[in-house]
Amino acid sequence: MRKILSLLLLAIFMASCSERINFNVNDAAPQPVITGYICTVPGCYSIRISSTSGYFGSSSTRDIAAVVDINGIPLVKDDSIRGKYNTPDDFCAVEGELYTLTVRMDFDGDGINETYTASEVAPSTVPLQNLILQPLSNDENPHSLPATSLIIFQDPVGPNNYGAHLYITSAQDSSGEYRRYHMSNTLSDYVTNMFSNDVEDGSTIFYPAYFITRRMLYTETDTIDVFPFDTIEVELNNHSYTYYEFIRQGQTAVSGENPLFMSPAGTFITNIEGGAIGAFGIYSCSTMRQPVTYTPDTWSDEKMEKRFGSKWREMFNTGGE
Amino acid sequence: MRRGVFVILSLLATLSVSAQYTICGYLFDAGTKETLISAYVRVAETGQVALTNAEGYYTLQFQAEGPFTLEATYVGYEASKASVKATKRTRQNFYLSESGTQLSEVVVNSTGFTKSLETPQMGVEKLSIGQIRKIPAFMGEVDVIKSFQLLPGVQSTSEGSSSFSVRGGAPDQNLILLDGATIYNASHLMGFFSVFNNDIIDNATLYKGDIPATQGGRISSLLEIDTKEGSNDAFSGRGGIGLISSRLMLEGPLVKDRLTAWISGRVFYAGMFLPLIERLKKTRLTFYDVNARLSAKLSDKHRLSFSGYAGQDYFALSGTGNFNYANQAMSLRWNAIVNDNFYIATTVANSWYQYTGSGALSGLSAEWKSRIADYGFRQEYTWNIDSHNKLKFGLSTSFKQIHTGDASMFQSGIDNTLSIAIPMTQNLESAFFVGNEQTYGPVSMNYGVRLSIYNNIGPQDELLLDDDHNKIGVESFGKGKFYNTYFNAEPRFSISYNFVKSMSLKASYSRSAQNLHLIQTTTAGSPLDVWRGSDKNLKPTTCNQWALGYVWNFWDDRFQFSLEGYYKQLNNVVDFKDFANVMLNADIDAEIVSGKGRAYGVEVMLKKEVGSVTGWVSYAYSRSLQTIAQINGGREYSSFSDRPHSVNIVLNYNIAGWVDLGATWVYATGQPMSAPESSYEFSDFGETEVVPVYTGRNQYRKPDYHRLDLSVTFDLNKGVKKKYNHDINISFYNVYCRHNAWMIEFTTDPETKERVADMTYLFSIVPSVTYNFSF
Repeated sequence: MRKILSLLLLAIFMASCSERINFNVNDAAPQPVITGYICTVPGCYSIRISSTSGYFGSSSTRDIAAVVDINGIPLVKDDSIRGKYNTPDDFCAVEGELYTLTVRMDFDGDGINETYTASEVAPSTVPLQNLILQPLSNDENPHSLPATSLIIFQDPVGPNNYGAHLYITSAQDSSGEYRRYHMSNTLSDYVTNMFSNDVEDGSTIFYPAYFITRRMLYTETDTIDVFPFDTIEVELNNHSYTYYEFIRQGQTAVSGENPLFMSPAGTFITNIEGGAIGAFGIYSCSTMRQPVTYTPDTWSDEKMEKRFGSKWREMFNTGGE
Repeated sequence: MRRGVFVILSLLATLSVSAQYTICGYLFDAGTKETLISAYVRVAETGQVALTNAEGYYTLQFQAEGPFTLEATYVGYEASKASVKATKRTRQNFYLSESGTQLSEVVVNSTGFTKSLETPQMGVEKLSIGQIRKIPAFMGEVDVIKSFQLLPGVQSTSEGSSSFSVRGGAPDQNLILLDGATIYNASHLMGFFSVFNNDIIDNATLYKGDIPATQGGRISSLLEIDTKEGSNDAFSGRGGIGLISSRLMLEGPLVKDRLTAWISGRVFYAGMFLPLIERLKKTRLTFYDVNARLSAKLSDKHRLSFSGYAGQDYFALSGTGNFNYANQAMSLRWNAIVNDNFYIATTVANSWYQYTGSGALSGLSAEWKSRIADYGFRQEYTWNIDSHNKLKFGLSTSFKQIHTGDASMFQSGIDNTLSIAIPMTQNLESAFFVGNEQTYGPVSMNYGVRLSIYNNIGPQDELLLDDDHNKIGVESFGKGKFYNTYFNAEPRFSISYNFVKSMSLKASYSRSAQNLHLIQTTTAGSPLDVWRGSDKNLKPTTCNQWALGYVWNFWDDRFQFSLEGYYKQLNNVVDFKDFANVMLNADIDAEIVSGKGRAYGVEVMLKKEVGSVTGWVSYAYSRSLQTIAQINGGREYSSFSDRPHSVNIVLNYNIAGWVDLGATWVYATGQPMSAPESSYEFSDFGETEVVPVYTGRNQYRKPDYHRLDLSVTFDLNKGVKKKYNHDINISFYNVYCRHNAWMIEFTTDPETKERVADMTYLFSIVPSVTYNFSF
């Protein structure tokens, strides 16, 4: 709920002007950075190892050779992406079990490997009860889109930390095959989909997880168009606490001097022992799907015809031409 | 501490009761018959000075019958003299006429250079409404708080904000009283305007540290704003029409010589033009103020006055969400003159501050509320013991209820309401105080003590915290239980030695305690105030302040040079943990950490208040540092108010009695801020993003702040006072378009992928025109 109120107030906040300035800061000594998570759904998950660099200095980070395992299961270095170590393709965490990440590397270059470890217990799954595509309009007959994907679930008593991922299953055009797109996130936008239950403990929670528009950005630069019959799929994640807090703090650091909800940035929380920045996380998943429905005037005739062919009116029983 | 109390008791014991002759009376406006508050009556033969009280009443005591030459002075009025022979009780009223032209208001200072030599209290700044009106105004809105921000030791907390810091203190360390009622948020429109409509102000006094023992509850400053009593002669009015706001005040007698009243309103209407823009047609942005006062003269010895204020800001966004915040304050004052040497002032005051945000989209709606309510009672006794001693004593108590936040969200489709209700906290803050103003020849003293008692009242759940301030449990207290008490003895002492006619040396010490803390992480003037009373975890902040000063009047009192130095030592100063979660957090105590602080500085001012050119030039060196174990590894760091150098130049040039040119130039060292010294790349969610890593709090500074404002005011009656007087004011804020940093963001350029610093600034040049009138 805090997120919703924050968004509301930020939207009200006044516009202002900005300009680029020179700002001199000291360069801090490099520190190892270890981040990554595993999940209760089988798949390939990654641990990323890098280094901090001076803020205005070079953004390139060292390629550090490391030996990485989770509960003794070795992770394999991904040769295509520097510092990325992958689990086997069918890796799956089991709820309630303890997982320990171990990273051995010579970060300081003294010829001796340092060991970094982090342990977490896999959280239990919190089942989604409903997913509603709620039109974002106060009109009497609102268009299908834009809408918010409202998720509803019963929060178990006790501390829980949630996040949500969005997938859209879509056909690129009338003759194309359906494909499932994962809407990628940055820290800033993912954190709007992260929330803890500290003030809503044990309640039936309803949360507008993602805004769905007719055109969605699924990577930093690539978009897909959303049409009737496409499927909106929201995955509710129940995160381990430290990883959740690490993400929240990362978002605070990225947003900086937010004038309304500024929080002083400082030393990051971590569950990694050995002197690294970062966190090792585990989350559980629950998923629900809803198809996008058709309402008149949500899409232009031209786009509907391109997507569904010339007989699209009959298909949607619009009674028009 | 024991020794301090002993010294004070010894001084009290020196009080003599040998006075035999008294001269007393009221000072009135000759035109309106309104009493004049904080006016001076000076005795030429003895140098004694009396200040009129809230009812315009003064008393002077003598050990001989005289005759004595009394001179009554007040800002904007012609001085009046009378030769009076003192008897056991001589009544001498003064009727002062307004100066020949309206513009001459600025040439007289309400404090008076002579008085400031003699008064022992340090760091006291008074501005008359005449002075305030001649200072270039932001968007044409003359503003009392922004005028005080031009004095040495007082800083705005951010660009355009009416939130202020005094001698390195935080904004919540300023007690703001409007006719005795506390104003918890003195800002409109994110701080760009203060809640004080200048038409209603009679007097504004800022105590920058040496707060009298009669007042307390804050450790940095006291800003007292007294409103006008209201004309007792005829109906009259005053107002102004500006580009973005307008105001009107009407006043007059309801029952001649018995009952006077005024009412004043102000409305901001720039937001009304937003619907003219298609995409903003459902957007609203406005604020209003309403002030009123009713003053009744029950008899020669009893006066009753009621003063009320209500103001509200309202934003609405495209018909989907709105946010409003409101201040309300009221006070009822009864002033009784028991005899010519003994008065009782009783005040009942209430104030509220609350805000509500709500939004609705289709079936989903959300609402958020927060509120602080303050119910206070105060009784102050004044006893003019003799010509050397004026004793004040009394008590005050205030019951405060703080609703940190109630939020609810409703979804019609599933008919479910989700709600958060952070429990209300209740506390009682009381004080007994005694203080004496004592004068013997060239030496004047002001000393006293304030004994403050603060209680937490159940029902309440208090967090149990470990050494790192993490929650480890909860302790519950039942309804009505006084479960926690803090007691503080707050001695205050100041002395002035007028060692030659035109020079004086001053020194002061004061200790003060604060039990109310503003939980706000931004200095940008946000209305989202959350106040938190001291409790078992959050101890009262205390401040010991020592100050030394020197005042020199020269060139026939045309100029005054003043120099003040101070050192403040603070205990239990509060700040937030790294990455504190302050919004709607029931466990907010776990996010707040405390430690020690210190502030020190020197303030220099050269002031001229007579002649066609008036104004002042000031420089302040001011540091504000704190040490908290959980922040920056326990190393001392700058508070947000640490701005070492500041310069203010305020000038007014009166041409031919009807044109006023005003100029202000302000400079201050940039505000402390945190900046990242390294970064890492985060890509767990599919995209790579640079995350800044902050290694220390407030270790860097924003660029220095400076700006020039100019104004010109034309008296449209060309300096001749008529039944209908009017002037037009043209102001330019930030004439040379300095881009002063409001916020600095560290981000990545989307095209070059380089890490950059982007500065947000709010204003370039801001011109405004205001037409003012009075009748």
